[in-house]
Amino acid sequence: MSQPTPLVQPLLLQFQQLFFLSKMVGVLPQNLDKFRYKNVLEKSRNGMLYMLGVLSIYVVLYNLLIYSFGEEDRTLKASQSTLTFVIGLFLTYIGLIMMATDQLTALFNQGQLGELYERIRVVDERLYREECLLDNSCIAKRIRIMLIMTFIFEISILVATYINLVDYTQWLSLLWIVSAVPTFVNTLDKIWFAVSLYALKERFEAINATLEDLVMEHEKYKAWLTGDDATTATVGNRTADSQQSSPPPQYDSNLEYLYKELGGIDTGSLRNSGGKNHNKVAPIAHSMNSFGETIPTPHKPQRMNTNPLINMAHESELNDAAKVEIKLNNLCQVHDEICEIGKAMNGLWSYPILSLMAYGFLIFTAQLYFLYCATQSQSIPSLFRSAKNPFITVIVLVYTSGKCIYLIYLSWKTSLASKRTGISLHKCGVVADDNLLYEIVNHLSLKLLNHSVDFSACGFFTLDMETLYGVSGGITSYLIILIQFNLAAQQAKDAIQSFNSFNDTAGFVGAATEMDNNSSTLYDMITTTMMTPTY
Amino acid sequence: MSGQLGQLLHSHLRFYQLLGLHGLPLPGDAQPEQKAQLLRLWAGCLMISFTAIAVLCVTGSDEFLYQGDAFGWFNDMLKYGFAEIAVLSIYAETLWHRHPLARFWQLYAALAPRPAPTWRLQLQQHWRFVVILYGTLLLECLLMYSLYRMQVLSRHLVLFWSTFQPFVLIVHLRNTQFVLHMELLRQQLLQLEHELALLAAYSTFASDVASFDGFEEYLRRRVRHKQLIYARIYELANYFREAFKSSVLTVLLMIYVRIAIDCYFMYYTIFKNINVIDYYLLLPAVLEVPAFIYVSQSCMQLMPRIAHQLHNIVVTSSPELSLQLQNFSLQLLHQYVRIDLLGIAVLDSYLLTRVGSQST
Repeated sequence: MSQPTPLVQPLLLQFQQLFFLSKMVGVLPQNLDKFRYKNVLEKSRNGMLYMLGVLSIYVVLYNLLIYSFGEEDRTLKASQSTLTFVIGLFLTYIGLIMMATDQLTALFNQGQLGELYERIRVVDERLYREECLLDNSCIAKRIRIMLIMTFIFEISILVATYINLVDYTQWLSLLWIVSAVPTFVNTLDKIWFAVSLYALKERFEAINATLEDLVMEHEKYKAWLTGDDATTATVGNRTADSQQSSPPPQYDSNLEYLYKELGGIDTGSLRNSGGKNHNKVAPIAHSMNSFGETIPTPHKPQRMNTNPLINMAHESELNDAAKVEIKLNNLCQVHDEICEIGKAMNGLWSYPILSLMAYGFLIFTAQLYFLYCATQSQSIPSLFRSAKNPFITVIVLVYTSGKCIYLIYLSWKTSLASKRTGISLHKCGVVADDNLLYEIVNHLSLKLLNHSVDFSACGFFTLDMETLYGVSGGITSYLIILIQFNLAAQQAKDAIQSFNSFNDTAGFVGAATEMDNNSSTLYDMITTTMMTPTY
Repeated sequence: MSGQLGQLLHSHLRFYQLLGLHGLPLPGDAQPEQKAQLLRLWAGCLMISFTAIAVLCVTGSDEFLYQGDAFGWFNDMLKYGFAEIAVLSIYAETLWHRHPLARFWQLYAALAPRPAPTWRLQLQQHWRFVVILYGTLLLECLLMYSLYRMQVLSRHLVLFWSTFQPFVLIVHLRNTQFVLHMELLRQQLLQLEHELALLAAYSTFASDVASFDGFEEYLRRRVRHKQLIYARIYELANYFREAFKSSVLTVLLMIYVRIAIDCYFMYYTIFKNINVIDYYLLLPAVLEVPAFIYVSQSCMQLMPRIAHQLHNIVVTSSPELSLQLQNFSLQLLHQYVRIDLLGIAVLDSYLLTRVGSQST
C-alpha cells in the first residue's frame, strides 16, 4: 500500500517503550531510528554487533558470578549428598542457555520479525475495509502492566535475596545483580511474543464479532419484518415456521427475574450488546507516540448501524447473498492469513519457548527440592540460595510459573478464538436460511476446519492447557523421587556417621580408610538405588 | 409458586440458594433485585466465615491439626489449604460471576419452556441428580454417625472433623450442583437426538412407502429448526463452563488432594499402629468424582449419536435438503460439546485412568 496517510495505525506503534527497553538490554538488534520514525523493524548491523557484545559481556559476568560464588559449592560436594551437587551443576547454566537462545534466535530472525508485523498491518487494513475495527490502545496498556510486573518481581527477588542471603560486606557480592539478568532478558523477549499473540487473538475476535453482528442485524431485521406484517405476535428471535408442529422456543415474559443479571438486554438479542460495543472502538487511542511526536491520525470511519434507533428501517446484509459471499470470503481469507501469521510467529519463537518451558520445569522442580533440602538444614548450591527462604521461593515460583502459564493460556485462548469463527459462520448461514449462502458457508466451514492454528514448542508439545496437566504431574512425581533419594542418602549417611563415631571411640581404624570407606559406601548405595526400577 | 422450572428444580435451587451456591433469584420471587442483593450478602457472609474458620484452624494453637508428627501436621494443613481455595472460588463465583449462570437459566427456560406437570414425572426426569444428591448426602451422614459411635474421640478428632466437615459438605454439594446443570444439558441433547431419530424414521418411511409434495422442504425446515436448537444447546454448554469455570477445577482438585493424602495417610497410620479409623470418611469423596464424571461423559457420548442420527435421514431427490444436512454436520464438527476443566483435561473416564496412573 503506497498511500500517503495510512488507513490504520501500525501495531508496532504500541510497542515503543518495549522496543526501547529491549534495544537497550540487547533483546532485539533492529534499527532504533527506523523504528522511531517509521514504526518498522529493520535489520541493523550495528544493532547486531551491539547485541553480540552485550551477550558476551553477560556470559563473562555470569561465569564470574558462578566462579566467585562457587567456592562454597566446592565444599558442598564433600559435605552433602552427591545428588544435590549434581543437580546444582546441571541447573547453574540453564538460565544462561535460555538467555543465549533468546538472543541468538532474535539475531537470526531479525529480518523476519519486521515482515511479520508488516503482514499484521496489511491484515489490519483488510479488516478495516470490512468494517472490522480494532482497538490497539489496550495493547500499550498491557505492555506497561507486564513491564511493571516484571520489574516488581525481578527487583523483589533480587533485593530480598541480596539483603537476606548474600554476604554484602564484600564488594564482589555486587555481582549477584547479574543473576537476575537471564530471567529479565527472557521475560522481555516473551513479552514481545505474548503481546503479539494477544494482538492476533484480538483480530480473531474482531472477525467473530463482525459475523455475530451480521447475525444480530438479520435477526432484528426479521423481527422488524414480522412485527410490521403483524402476522404473528411473537417477538421471538426466530421467524415462526408455519408448518412447525411445536412453536419455536422464545424468551418468556416470566424471565424478568433474570434481567438484572443479564444487564438489561432486550428480548430479541442473543448477545450482550454492552460487551460487543466495547470492541468497536476506533483504533485512534492516543495521537502522540511515546517519544512525544504527533502522528498522523487516520480519519475516523463511520459506521452505519451504530445506533439502531436512528436506523429504523432495519437492513440486513445477509439478504443479499452475492454481497455477503464477498464479505464472508474476505473475512475467511483474513482469518487464514492471521492463522498463517500465527504459525509464522510460533515458528520464530519456537526455540525460545522450548527453552523457557524446559527452564520453567527444571527450575520449578529444583527450587522446591532445594527448599526441602534447606528445611532439612542441608546446604544447597549457592546460586539457588533464594530457596533458603520460603517467601522468596514463593515469589520465584510465581514468577517462573506465571510466565509459562500465561503463554500457554494465551496460546490456548487464541486457538479457541480462531475456532470460534467457524461457529459464528454457521450462525450466519442458519439464520439467513438461503441456499446460496448455505453453499458458501459449507465451503468456508470446511476451509476453516482445515486451517486451524495450534501453537507448539518445536513440535515437542502443543501449547494448550492439557500440557499443564502433564507438566504438573511430572513436577510432582520428580519431586517425590528426588525427596526419596535424598531421604535414603541421608539415612545412609547417618548410619555411616554413627558407625564411624563408634569406630572413633573404639579407635582401631585410621582416618584415611574411614574417608575411603565413607564415600565408597555412599557410592554403592546410590548406584543400587539408581538401578532398582522404582517407577 | 413454582414458575416455569417445576417444583423439583425450584425447591432444589432454593436449597442451593440457602447454601449460597446459587446467586440468582428464582422465578416467582417478589422483588428479584433485593433478593439478588440479599443472596450476595449471604454468600459474602458465608465466604468470610469459612475463611475465618480456615485461618483459625491453621494458625490456632489448639489441636485443630494433627500434632503427633510433622508429616501428619503437614497433611492436615494441605487439606485445609485446598479446601479453603475451593470454597473461596465457589463463593467468588456466586458473588461476581453470576452473568453466565443467568444466561444458562435463560437459555434453559427458552429450550424447555414447560416443565413436567407432576412431581412423579419430574422425579423421573431428574432421577439421576436426585439419586446422586441424596445418595452422597445420606452416606456422608451415616458415616459421620458411625464414626461418632465407634471411634474413641480425642480432642484433635472432634476439633478437626467439626471444622473440616463443613468444607467437605459445601464442596460436595457444589459437585452435585454441577451434576444438576450437566444433567439438564444432557436432557436437552437427548431430546434433540430423539427428534432427529424421528425425522430419520419419517424420511425412511417417505422414501420407502409414500411421500407427498413438499415433504422434503418440510424436512429441510425441521432440520434447520434442529440446527438452531443445537446452536442454543452449545451455548448452554458454553455458559455452564463459563459459570463454573474455576470452581470445577478447584472442587475436583480438593477432592483429589484429599483422596491422595488420606490414602497415603491411611497406609501410614496402619504402618505406625495409630488407632484412628476416620479414614473411611473418605468414601463419599471417592464417590463424588465418578458421579460427576459419569454425568459429563454420558453428556458427551450423545454427540456422536446426534451426528449418527442426522446422517440417517434419507435424502431422495432434494439437493437443498442435502445441503442443509451437510451444513448441520459441519456445524456439529465445529461446535463439539466438550466439558473440561478449564481446558486442562476432558472430563471423561479416561481422566480417571490418567489420574490413577499418576497417583500410583
